[in-house]
Amino acid sequence: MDEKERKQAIYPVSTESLQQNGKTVYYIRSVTSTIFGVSAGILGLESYYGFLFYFAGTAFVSLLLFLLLARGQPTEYFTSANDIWIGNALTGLSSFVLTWTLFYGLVDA
Amino acid sequence: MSFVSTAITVFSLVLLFHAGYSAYEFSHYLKHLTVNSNATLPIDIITETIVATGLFALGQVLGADKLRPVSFAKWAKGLEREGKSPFVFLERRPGYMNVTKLREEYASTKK
Repeated sequence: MDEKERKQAIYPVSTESLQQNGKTVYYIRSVTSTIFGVSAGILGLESYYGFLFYFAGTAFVSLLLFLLLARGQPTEYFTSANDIWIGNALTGLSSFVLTWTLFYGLVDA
Repeated sequence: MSFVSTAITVFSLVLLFHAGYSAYEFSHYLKHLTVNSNATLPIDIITETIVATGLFALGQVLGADKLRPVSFAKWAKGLEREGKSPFVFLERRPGYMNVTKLREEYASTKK
């Protein structure tokens, strides 16, 4: 058995918790992505600035997740710390673009 | 979803709607009532939008379900406190019952 399998055998991981945590994070990211799209449309952002806004907003949400939900200990709630910083970061991109284009067109009288 | 998080979310959505409507009005005035349309969005609308999105993210994160511990030990500990341990079938083993001892216990309590 290699190192990882040994660790799995000694300290098993509960898959149910992992799935529930993944669902929570996925929901937060998709919902906040739509609102980021709304603001990007209202602010009238275009091309690169818009995507920059999305990544800045996702980073802010990652920070909030790290501080408030994981309470500074991401490895206790996810398999690796990366899962809270960049996990599911791009899933909201399509919702972002959808609401961004919608509200850009709406606000532009 | 607690009361605080719902309140923050609703307030941020109201703020966002207000900012959006203000931006629409601003763009409308710019296009129909001025000659040179070179102005950018006023700073208060920009601030209002950014604050609204920040508040929305905060409200969602505050109202999200608590994260469950991932290590099997801690998760099972939490479950056992409620009585729903994943190994509850090991608490009672009918094949290992000591009938005479149980009979004695019952007899002593009955007296």
